Amino acid sequence: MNDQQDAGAEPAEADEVSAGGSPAFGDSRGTAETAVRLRNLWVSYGKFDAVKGISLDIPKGEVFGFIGPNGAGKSSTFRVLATLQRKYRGTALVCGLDVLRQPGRVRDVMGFVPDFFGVYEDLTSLEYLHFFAAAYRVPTKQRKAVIDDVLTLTDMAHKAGSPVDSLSRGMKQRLAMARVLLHDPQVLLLDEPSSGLDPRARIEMRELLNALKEMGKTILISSHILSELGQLCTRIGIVELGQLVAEGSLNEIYRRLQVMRLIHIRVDNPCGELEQRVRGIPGVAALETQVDRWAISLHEDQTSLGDLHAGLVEAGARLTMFQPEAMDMETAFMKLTEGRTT
Amino acid sequence: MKIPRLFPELPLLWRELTELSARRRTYVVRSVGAMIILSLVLLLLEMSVAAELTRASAEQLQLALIGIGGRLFPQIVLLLFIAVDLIMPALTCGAITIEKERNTLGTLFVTRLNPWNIVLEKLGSRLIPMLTLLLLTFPILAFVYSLGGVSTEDLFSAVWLLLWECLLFASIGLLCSAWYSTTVAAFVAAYVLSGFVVFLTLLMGVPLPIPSHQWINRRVAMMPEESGFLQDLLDNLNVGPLATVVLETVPVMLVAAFFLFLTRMLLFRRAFVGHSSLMLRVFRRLDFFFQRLNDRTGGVMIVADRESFPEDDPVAWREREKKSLGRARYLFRVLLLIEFPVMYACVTFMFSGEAQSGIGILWLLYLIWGVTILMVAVKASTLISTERTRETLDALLSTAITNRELLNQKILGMRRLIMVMATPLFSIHLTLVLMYGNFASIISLAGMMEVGLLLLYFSAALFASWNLCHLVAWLCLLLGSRAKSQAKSVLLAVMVVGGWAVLSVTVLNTVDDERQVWRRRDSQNVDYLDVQLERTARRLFRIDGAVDAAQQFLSVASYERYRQFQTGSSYGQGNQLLLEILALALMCGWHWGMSRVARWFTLRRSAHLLDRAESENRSDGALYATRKWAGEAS
Repeated sequence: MNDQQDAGAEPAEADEVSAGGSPAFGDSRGTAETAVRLRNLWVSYGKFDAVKGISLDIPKGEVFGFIGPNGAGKSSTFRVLATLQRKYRGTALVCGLDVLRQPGRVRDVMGFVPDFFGVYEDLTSLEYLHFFAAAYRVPTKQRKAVIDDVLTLTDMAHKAGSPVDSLSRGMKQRLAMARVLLHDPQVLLLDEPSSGLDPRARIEMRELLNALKEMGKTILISSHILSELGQLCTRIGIVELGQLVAEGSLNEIYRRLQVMRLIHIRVDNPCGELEQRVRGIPGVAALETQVDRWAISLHEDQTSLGDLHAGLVEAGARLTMFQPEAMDMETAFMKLTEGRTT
Repeated sequence: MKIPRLFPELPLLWRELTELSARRRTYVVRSVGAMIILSLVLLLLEMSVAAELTRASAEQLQLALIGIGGRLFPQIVLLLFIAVDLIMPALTCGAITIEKERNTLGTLFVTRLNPWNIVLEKLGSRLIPMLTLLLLTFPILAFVYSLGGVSTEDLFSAVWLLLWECLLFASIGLLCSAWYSTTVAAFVAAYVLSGFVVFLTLLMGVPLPIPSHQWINRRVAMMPEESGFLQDLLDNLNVGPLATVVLETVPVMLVAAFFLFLTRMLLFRRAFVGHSSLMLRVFRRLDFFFQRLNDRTGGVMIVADRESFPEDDPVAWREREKKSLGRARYLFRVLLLIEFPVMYACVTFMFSGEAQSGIGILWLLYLIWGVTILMVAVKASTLISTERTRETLDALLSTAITNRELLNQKILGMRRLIMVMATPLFSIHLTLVLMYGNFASIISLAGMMEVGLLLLYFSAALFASWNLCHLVAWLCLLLGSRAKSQAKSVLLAVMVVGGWAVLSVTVLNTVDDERQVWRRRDSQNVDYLDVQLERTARRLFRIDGAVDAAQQFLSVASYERYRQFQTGSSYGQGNQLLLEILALALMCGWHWGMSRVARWFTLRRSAHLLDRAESENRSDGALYATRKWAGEAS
């Protein structure tokens, strides 16, 4: 059941959804600069609609974070883009290629890491990569060099001879990353790549993703670790109940939601009077006294961080620490979603 | 005032039955099962009525059907026993392993359910569906009862014995479910153990009258009561026939209780055993044995595994080089393990000189043939479902490999296994050739003709086996690919292939006709073409059609030689041999065609089976971005 003809089957809902933040869409074909384009995407399993009219554009070279509660439709969207979902309605393009009509070409330009890492117990890491290099049709003569490169990039060279089954979860995830880099894809679809990893493995994964970002890869990543996405993504999309409820850069989303920035400060001279003066600084919405610091909630659209700093000094605070929280995505997430799951 | 509960609360049984009722499959299986049983019963009824009317003279025609129920009833109950024996192990083998596979057994242990609760509620949850299936046949039994000739005692003893047959086989299935960690292993073990129990009681004469055995002895075969401790005791007690039936089932009750007790004992001890492949353990044992053997022989290496990487066929490479049933070293050991006993049996049969040796070798042929088909069916049905359950399929499907290539390579990877399993068949066919051939007269024209015929038989038999393995492989791949778990794919494949094999056997119900044909063939009154056409038409629906045609051809060829020896005539007289050759060629061609159709259909449905869009036709072939990744990366 395709499909393209049915793309406008649910126009009312589609319009409503795309109002979540995507620009107005006219042309359904991808442009040279667009890595991923979704138009009114619907994925249904029987009577249940997992994805309800998601539309978005992801330019090349962007790292797009896909956030949403479990069952929100993230993995279904990923499966469509990874050519693993035969039945859907709407349009899905990867690098201008239609996922349904040109799945072979899409597979050439896309690498997909699913949210689980099934292992071939019987292979070593090297055999595993050779297996997938052959499956990706990497020319035989180039295979060794390509595999050496991806092993180096993912810091897995020392584990080349180890059975896949014996690797730690973090290493398996890095091996999965090595696998999808074998055919040098332009677009990477990473479904929960940091899920279940320990802090060290998570940091290593983040470094690897940063390296790939610097290489100009377009990355579509879903994760539950919001702070991590905040550090990595250029744009994010928040999905709930199969609909895109917000989409844009972090700052755009904060502005739209009027989300407050949290700033931790420590002063040498804490007292009630100073606290009152700080509360009086324009833009300060709240001040919470914690064990060793104050946590200030700031309307950043009214007062910039620099102005706050100046205001604090002017109020007589002798600052020993001024630490704005990098992101407050949890707040944004909680504000945008209502915790409804299917 | 608290009112005491009349029935104990059975949360596990309630959950199981709720789950069962929520599945559409339950109703489909029940309807299909009931339809099959009812069809067979109607077939039996039709055959019995026809037989009675044929036997009766014209004046007795109206009375011929009186009391037919008495002759029909034991056959129908026997059919129900067979249904219970086939279905019950499959129903119960997953009862506990499913909890292990879902990691939910531990949560059951921390509830207030004690082990006996778990075992008995699991037993109940599997018994109820089986009993409801049997209940569906009761209207038929009532109808047969109304035909007359069935006593009330027969009716009650049938119900009693069927109930205990269910309990016995359910307890065997539960025991296997408690022991093994996967449903597939428990499934295989449940049938092996059930078969072993039947074999012990029916063939070895062990004094454990299982209910179906009692029914066959007393009601079907009308055998006299055997003397023995139990029979002597019953004679001394001088009880009625119904009480005798009940008392005769006491050993079965004890055995079923023993199996349930073992299940309860193993429930905790085997609850968290790690998943280890049964095949892997067998190979490890074999490895140990062969390594010790190799040490004694001085380290002779006949087949060494090559360390290699895949070229253009990664999926076939992995199946061939990395799977237990693909690696040359392991397969060579399997070959030795099967081939040595087969060779020994073949040589024994060949030199025994007894008239029964021909039948013995045919039994061996069908045994090995059955094992081969079973192994191919299990392996082929799990080719995709294994990838699915181990969550490796998505990664594989997101590569450039096409759906058709993937399925093709999976079957190609099985080729070694098929070759290894075909080798004992090769030995058996060779033995048959040597047994039937008269190579002393090879220098004569007739002798050369005979050798030619034997060579024809040999090639056709091997071709038929090869085709059959491929047919089963493609069919099972088709059946098993959509299954979400290995257990489901194996169950489905074994049910279909096993069902086909069982139906093939039931088609053989005209064995008597065949025998009559053989008896009358010298009288020249039989139109051999008609017989051959009828036989070939039946073979078209039989799983062993081509194998059977080859055996028939060999028999006719040897009969022709015997006739030549007796009458001094030469080959070519009459058209019987020619008809057999044509029938053999037709059957080989039919099975070859079926395997090609199965392959074509499976590949055509590949997108549906793998649930992934097929790659578009591309003039540039498989693409790989040929720019040097390393250069760009640096």
